[in-house]
Amino acid sequence: MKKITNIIFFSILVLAFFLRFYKLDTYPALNADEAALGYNAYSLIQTGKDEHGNSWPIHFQSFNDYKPGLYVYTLLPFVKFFGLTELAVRLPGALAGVLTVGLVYIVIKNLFLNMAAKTKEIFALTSSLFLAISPWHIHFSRGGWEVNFATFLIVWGFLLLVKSINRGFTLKPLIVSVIVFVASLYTYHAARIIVPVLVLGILAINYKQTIRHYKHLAISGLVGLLMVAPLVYDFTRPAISSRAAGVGLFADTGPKARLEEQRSEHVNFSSAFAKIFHNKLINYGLVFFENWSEHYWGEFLFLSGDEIQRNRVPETGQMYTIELLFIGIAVVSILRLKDKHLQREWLIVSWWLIIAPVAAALTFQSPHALRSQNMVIPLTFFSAYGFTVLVETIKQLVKTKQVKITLYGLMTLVIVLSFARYVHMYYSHMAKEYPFSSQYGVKELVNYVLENKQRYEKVLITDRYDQPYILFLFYSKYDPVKFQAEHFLTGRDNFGFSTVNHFDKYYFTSIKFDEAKPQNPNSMLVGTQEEIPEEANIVKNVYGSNNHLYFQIVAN
Amino acid sequence: MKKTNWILLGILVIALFLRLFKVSTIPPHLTPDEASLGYNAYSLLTTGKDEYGKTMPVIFKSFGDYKPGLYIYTVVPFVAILGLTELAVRLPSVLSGVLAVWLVYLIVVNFRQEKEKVDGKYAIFASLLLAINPWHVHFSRGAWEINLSLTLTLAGIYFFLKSLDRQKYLITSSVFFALTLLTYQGAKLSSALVLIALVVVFNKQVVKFEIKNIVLSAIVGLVIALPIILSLFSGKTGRLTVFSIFSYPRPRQYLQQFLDQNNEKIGSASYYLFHSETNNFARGLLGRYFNYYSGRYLFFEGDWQNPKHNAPNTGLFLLLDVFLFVPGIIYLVRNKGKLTFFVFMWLALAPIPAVLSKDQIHAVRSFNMVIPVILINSFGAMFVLNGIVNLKQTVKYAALAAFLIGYVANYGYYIDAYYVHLPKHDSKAWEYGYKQIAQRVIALQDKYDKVYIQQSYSQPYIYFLFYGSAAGREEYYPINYQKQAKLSENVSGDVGQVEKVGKNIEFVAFDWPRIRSQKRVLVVGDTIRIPDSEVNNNAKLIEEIIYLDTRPAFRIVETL
Repeated sequence: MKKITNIIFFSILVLAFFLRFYKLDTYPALNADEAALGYNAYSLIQTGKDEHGNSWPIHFQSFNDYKPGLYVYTLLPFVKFFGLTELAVRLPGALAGVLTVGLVYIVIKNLFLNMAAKTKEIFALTSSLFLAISPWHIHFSRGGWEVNFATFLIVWGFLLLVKSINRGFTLKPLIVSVIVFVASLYTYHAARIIVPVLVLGILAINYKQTIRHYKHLAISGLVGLLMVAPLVYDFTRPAISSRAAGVGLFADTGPKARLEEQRSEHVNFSSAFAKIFHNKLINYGLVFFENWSEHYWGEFLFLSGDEIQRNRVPETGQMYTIELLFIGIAVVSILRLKDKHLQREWLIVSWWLIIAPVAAALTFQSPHALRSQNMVIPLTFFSAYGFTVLVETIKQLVKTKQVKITLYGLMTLVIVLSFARYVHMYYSHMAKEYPFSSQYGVKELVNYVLENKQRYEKVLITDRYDQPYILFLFYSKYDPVKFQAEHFLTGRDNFGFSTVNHFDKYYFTSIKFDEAKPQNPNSMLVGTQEEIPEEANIVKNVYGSNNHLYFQIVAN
Repeated sequence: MKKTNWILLGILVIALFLRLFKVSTIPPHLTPDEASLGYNAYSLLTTGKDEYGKTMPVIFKSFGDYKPGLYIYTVVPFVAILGLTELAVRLPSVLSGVLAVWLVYLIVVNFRQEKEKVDGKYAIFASLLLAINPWHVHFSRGAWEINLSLTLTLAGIYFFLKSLDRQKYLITSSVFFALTLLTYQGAKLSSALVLIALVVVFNKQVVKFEIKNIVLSAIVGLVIALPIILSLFSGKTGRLTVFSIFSYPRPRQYLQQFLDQNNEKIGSASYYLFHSETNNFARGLLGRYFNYYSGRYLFFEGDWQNPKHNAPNTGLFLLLDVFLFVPGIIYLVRNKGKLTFFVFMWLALAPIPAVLSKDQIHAVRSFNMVIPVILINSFGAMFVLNGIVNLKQTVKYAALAAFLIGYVANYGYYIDAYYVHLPKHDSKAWEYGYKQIAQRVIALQDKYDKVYIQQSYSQPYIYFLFYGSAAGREEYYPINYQKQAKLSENVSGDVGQVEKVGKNIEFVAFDWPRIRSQKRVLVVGDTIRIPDSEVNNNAKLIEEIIYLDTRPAFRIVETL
């Protein structure tokens, strides 16, 4: 039995590995954020400073969005070893994804102490299997997504905390848990809200033990505080906190406009009623709660997923539609549990599910699959448990072997079909349906430009697509020393981002062809199809790996 | 009287007050359907015929949507007493809303007699929560046929429960279910779903019914509903094809483009596995189904496609109802009983008629949901109350007080949204302005040879008939209009339009330059058709009709 389990577990890990590593370096194309992470790691290795010359930062300035820095630091050995390549940038993310699939198995084993051994085994294996094939988890494992790395750390920290609690708050796992949790705070913004709330909830649920072992908690709490201090200190710099506020709820002016409209509809707009019912607290509070509730919307979870193209696969939900059935079964059977321990353990998972989208709900754009990615963990637990209950119910109720096999076969078939459809959508349709979801075509462009640029004085490149400079730095492995010395970062635009308009021979600008042509003799002009007129001297059409025409190059 | 009865009476008074207070003016205007129901009732009262001169119809042609007409018959006595007024049109719905509150009480009490352990207070909670529920109040404060239909459904359920003790009530139940079909188009499906739920829940008892009773009830029901059933075959199905989701497959071009990305062909294996039309419809249906259980719909925004269907910036339930709904679901799952089973089934089935229609979300077609959700909320209230019994006195009362204060404040927010904001915020959605136009134009029309009114699917003609008759102008009386009535049918099968009423009033597609060329005619149009530049330049402004939020709505002008 043990042996079979091991084989299955190992196979699941292999599957998880394959799904996260197959074509990892080329599909989808590298996006600007990933390039920034990679190039900053490269810059650190070469110069000890980031691209803008800050030495060993906690938050990386990048596009003035101040990315939390831990992911860049995990990249260091990979970039050192593999060079500045797509694979190197994505390896820690993909590895963290595979490790999370493994960790989930161990979490179930440690969390549910009172569950029958056999049930628990099926449950644990199903959990890791479902996470291995989860569209939500695969999507953000395949790339340099800080959030996925943070989720890995949260799961790991969670496991250590549970272990510590099980043994009566032993100090060693508790401190390691704190360290891992703190690491997640250094990795991704959302974790800074999720982790404290999650941990406090777990402690509250186990309040009797918590009170009894307050000494160990105090010690590890102190360790945590000390470790968080530099982060807090760095975060309170106005440049960084203002960026965080820029994506926050209050940056959305809708609720404020509504507030004014509502007050104006009162006969006396400054009356007590108008002020009690219509104020910022209520309007923004309502938006927060609505945002939060939208993360549980069926359309988002089971049918279509996030609205942002970069975060989604065509016609695919964050989870498989069939998982709704499993989750439903899980909820019913959990609510009917009589065992106090099991109830408490499920309360912890439920708490996680409830608070997982809180950070995402504090930003505008909801539901948001990226910022709420850690939801996938509790959801997978529910889904896998429902599946387990279904399997066991069939085992108990159905006596005929043929019927049993038919039912199992049917369940497998549905899951396999859902999975096949997802893979089909991911590999065959995603890049073509959403050609602008990632920076397709830029690698091809850079290769051409590098081969030919010595013949031109200047290279003008359209800034139509997201942050072209960073991708040029990345693909040309441009010397960070030179770049730090010569570039200038623009002020923030309406969305809070800055960019670099010029380095080396490259000028990133919108191509107004009729003006650009006479002003820039002996230059290479790179524009989109809309920017370049048909009669221009087009020397090269640059297609992305998805066969979409992205750039036309004109020799001027 | 027993104490419970007094409480129930109090609840009914609250229900009546919430449904009746200012009902003539809030909502701020009659919808075209309301005006049509009223005018047809008036027509029946005075001539025994509908607006097209058809004697005592069961199905009314109206705008070409062929309304099942029971609601119109219920309006007749009120028009007889109160005259042709907003109040008369809306009163049947108000009263049926109050009746629904009482019926919910009776239903729960009778489920209890099924030897189930439901707390006695539960029935009181259910009726109280329904009495104050925003969704139910909203549709009770207007001539919404669905509201009457739901009340009849509740009566059907009540008598079905009674029939479990005394089988003769089965016929009464059948009569009520059949009447829902005469009231509302969608009842064909929604009532069938309720019946299915009842039969499934009470399958053991139903099997024991005498064949005689079942056959008799079926025959009585079928006879009553016969005109509606026959209409299914005669094409008067009220735009069934216009509304059905199945009339709208995805555009061929979109599909082709998607398939081309991967050189897939229609009919290939990968098409059937991943891209089939069935799959597409299933996704569409499921997506709609999910919408009805979204927080956005139930607690935050309500029907986000139709501002007319709820007060602005509020959901169909109070936000704090979440704290009853979630415990209610827990109770529902933990307790296996007939009532919980029935509530669960109804909750799951109720949105289906709405899901099958083309709209993403629709608070009218899914209105039946209000009852199962209210019942769940009442479970929740009981569950929470029983759960905190063992707490310390102080903690218990503090928690209760906190919840009550919050709930009352939340209700205050809803009342504010309804009474203060709805009339202003949603003036346009309620077609505000046509009453004012009709009254003004009718006073002026004799001075002009011709009056041109901007044609619209807001059916301006019906307001002229309604308010013309109300003002005692004989040319608008049904007896005179019936001779004139002519509906231009819509080629797409949707509602049609009427082009002429009275002596000189025409409803025209707006061609301002051509109208302008005619001298001294009275013209009414919105501010887009008659822009500022034309006023007092090419036309003399007689009056500007203004929405309640002070934005201009329509202009009445005279050409020079």
